[in-house]
Amino acid sequence: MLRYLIKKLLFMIPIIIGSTIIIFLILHLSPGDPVNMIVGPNVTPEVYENISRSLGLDKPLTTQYFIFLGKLLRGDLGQSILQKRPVLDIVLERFPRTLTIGVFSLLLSFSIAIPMGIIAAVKRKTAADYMSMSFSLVGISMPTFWFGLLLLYFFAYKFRIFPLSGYETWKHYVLPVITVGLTDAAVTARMMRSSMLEVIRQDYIRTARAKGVKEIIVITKHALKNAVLPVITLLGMRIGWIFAGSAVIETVFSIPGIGRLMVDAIFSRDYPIVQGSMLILVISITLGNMLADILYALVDPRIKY
Amino acid sequence: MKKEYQEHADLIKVADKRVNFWSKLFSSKPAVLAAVLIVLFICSALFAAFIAPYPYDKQNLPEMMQAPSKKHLFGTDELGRDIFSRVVYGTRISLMVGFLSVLISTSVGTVLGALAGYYGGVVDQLVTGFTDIVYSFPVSLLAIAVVAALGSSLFNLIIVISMVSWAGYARLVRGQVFSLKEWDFVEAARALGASNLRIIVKHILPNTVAPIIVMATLEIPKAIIIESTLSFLGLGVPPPTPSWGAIMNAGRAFILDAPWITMAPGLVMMVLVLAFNLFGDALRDALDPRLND
Amino acid sequence: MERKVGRSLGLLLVVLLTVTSFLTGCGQSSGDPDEPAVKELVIAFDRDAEILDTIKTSWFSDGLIYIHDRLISRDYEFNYRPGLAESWETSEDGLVWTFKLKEGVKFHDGTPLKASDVKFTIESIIDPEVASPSASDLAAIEKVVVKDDLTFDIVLKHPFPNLLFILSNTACGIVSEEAYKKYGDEYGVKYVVGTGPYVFKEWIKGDKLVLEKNPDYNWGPDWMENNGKPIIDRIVMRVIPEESTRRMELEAGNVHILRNVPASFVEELAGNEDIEMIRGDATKLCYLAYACDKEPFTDVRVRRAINHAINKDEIVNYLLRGVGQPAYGYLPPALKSEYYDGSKTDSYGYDVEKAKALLKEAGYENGLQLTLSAENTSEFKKLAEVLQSQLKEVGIETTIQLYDSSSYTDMLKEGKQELFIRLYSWPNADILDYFLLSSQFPYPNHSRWLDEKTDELIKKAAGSATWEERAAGYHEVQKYLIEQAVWAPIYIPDSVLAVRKEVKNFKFHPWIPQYNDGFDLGVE
Repeated sequence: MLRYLIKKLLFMIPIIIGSTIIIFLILHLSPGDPVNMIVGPNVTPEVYENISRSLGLDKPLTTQYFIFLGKLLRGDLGQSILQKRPVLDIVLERFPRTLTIGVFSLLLSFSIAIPMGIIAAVKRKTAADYMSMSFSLVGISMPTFWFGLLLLYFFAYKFRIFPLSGYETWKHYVLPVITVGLTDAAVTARMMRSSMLEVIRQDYIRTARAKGVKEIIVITKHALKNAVLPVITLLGMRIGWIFAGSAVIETVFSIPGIGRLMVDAIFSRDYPIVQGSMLILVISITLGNMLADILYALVDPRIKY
Repeated sequence: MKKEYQEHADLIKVADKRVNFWSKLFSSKPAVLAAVLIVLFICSALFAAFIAPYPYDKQNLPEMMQAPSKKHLFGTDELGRDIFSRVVYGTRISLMVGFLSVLISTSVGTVLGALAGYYGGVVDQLVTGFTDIVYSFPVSLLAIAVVAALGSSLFNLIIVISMVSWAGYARLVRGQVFSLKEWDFVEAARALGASNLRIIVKHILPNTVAPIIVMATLEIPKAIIIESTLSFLGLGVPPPTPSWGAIMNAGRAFILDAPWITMAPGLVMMVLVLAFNLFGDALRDALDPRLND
Repeated sequence: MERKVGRSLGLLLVVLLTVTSFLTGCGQSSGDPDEPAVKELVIAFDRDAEILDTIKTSWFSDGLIYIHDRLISRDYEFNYRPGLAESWETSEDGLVWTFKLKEGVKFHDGTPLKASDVKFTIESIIDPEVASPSASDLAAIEKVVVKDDLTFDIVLKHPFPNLLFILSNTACGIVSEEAYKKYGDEYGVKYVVGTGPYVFKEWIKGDKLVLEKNPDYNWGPDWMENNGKPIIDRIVMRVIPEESTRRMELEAGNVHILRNVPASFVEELAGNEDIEMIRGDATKLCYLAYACDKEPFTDVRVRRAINHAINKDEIVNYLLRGVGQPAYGYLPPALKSEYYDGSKTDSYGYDVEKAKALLKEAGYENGLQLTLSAENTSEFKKLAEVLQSQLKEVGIETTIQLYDSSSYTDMLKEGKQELFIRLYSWPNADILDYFLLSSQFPYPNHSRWLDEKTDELIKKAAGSATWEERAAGYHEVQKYLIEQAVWAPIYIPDSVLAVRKEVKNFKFHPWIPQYNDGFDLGVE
């Protein structure tokens, strides 16, 4: 197990380097320049050059990249071009908000989706099945931002139950978590159902049933563990999706999190911030994948490392 | 650690059940409904000019932001354009984005997956590594970066969406090919001196078509949703092209006074996406022999 | 095996607890019931400050305006009045301006304001090593000479009657030399020290900036009703990027003031009896420009045809919902003496037939195919669509291209533009120097207007010895530009504020609300 984890951790290195190169190239080769964002329209060429030089943007691209990488190895993500603050501070200040939404959404999603998927599979072709599958179909057919706007409009604006914007109390997180959690539950419930259907068709389940074991025991003791495996595998992917979707959800609910930070930084060409936030997202997604692997190993007795 | 899970893993046995397939597919009422809806949407995309009561870019400023009425079924937008007409034309964009991006991602994913599965070794490691990176990478954020950098056009959107979704096909096809290549009929073809290319194209790929089609059907609605989400972030097609996402995004500022601008295309999109999902499910059920009990 | 499942659940629990503890930790920071009622004014903005350092930024958060005082202030009629400078005089040749500072002014850290702080502020901006984005504005200044603690000279490279304007800008808010040097990299992030009516308290980037009143403040400008300490105890500037969320928060009473209210909200908000809409002239101008050095824009007939093709009234009535006025000339009328009064009579009215005739005369009777570029915001996107349909009427087909603001600037620098939409916000005629002098080519002279006569007229105006001569000179410039149809001016938006009724004694100021001037907050 430990060896496996170390291997996984080592695997993060090429991913991180690869992702920084990709992002670096995309940003630097695209039109637009952070100096434009710093200065107003009435700038003289000399002033422009001065600022560009002070930011090191006049150096060749490869030099700029190696400077970035060199700093990264020393744990320095550089300084924001526009905010003139260490990127690490900026990113860490915002990350907890994004993480909170992510973790609670996943918890909500799994706590709805797993029972729902099981019931739908066990009670196949009954009202319970049709209802939960209709719910998931509608869920996966709605864009997250659209659902979020609906919730915001009704529960924050019309009925004034939850706050409209911000992140300071737990109440601020209710609507974003419901938005992400429910749309994600729709996907997971479908997965859980088909996985459960597959498992209960297996011989050992039939044997258990034939032996007269109670249905509830068959499902919870024998089937559940195997059926939940593929769902856990996909946990890592779901984490990726949730973080990637953070830009949208943070826009709808006006939460200054990391997704919004990154999108804004892309537009203002604040390269160090884009790289920094991309980095922290990649790392957390990879860690999420590892968590999924650990969970998988804990649940599945066949796995030996 | 072997944990690649394919929902459609056993679909290869489907070949001899083809006769059964159509009757089975259309025995399910939702599937029929979904198929009818999809056909309707395709028709409205093809014949938009006949269905839409107004040109999609016809502005009529004095009539802006009117609520739905007989004259304007879905109301008018902030420039007095008929939203129903724009939604009808928008079907073209959404379907185009859906079909083309899925076509590209399927092709790329299938080729890479087939190569990886068939040749194994270094090729496999490369492709698998690459898909792993895509999976552990916030690709949608990357997509945002790319669109923001390249500028938003229909073409760029399609490329970016394909970029986000090819990895799923690669994994699927790789797994399929991996198990198929050990089968007797492949061995036989090889013994008869067939080239690798011929074996892949003629013998292996045809047997992976069914799960790919199922996956593609379920990916089309995802592509449509991604398009609208990118539009929401201001990265959609340039005006006056009436993509659903673009209409919704423009209406967002008026959501309090003219909610129909955002709601109407959203609902229509939901119906189309729902239809594809329903159809995809039915397709999977019909192709899956294990559900015959 | 059960134990293993239990362990995995335990792991989840740990994650859950960590996050919960974080959440509750956050919850504690909000509201302490024991505190006496604080008059807290909440204002919502679409965008946060980048850094609270006037020398290093060009994105001036309103916060910077209340934290600092400037040498020159501007009253409700937009006249130049004493600020930190009590009086000033100009030398015969216009090259040396001598200023006298008010006595008894103290920075927020308690140290007195000295002429050396002014010297530090201004010379930092013009120092190439500092690379201040405002350096270009102060290019006319050679140096600052301190005469005594309260007296100093500003020495110019050439006569520059516009100096008062430059000194009244946010960029010239006077900072404390001592504090600026002491805090180094943390200045503008954790510490900001000025002499203004409000003191920097807390800044949570992307969320809010909190200012508290300066209890020692008694050096407010004479023209204010209240030149002592402010009545409102605290100003909270919240960042809410979504415009409809800002409006919902205002209606819900969580935000007291919105600035730059979108035109589409004005009518609905005006119907809300808790909210008062305040409108005034803005010093902004939105125009359609074109690359004048490229075919077909080299032909003045084509430029005039484009001017005739635009139905400004329709745009103002519907796109702006009447919350603005058509633009006829090159400056907004709010600039008063600098504005050329003949702009409207000299301008080109909406006339499709005339536009077609002009195009035909220029040899383009078969129409034109052009690109129309704009920044990717909902405002400009809509305007581009309307212009596209108006230009189509006279036979000009356009393809719209949208850019985010950074790549838009780059595109203009590279000179790829044909037709393009711009809006400037600048309260001074020298904006014409920036955009139209041939020395500014290719950027910011993005209309690529290389014309000797324009250069001559502008230089004459800008180098005038007095403000009146300068204004007259700029009238000539504007008249000539209209004749040459260098741009197609479109509209001047109104400056609109939405103010909740809890805010008492609100006074409209053409630049920015002066909250310290007797503004109060009633608790309902």
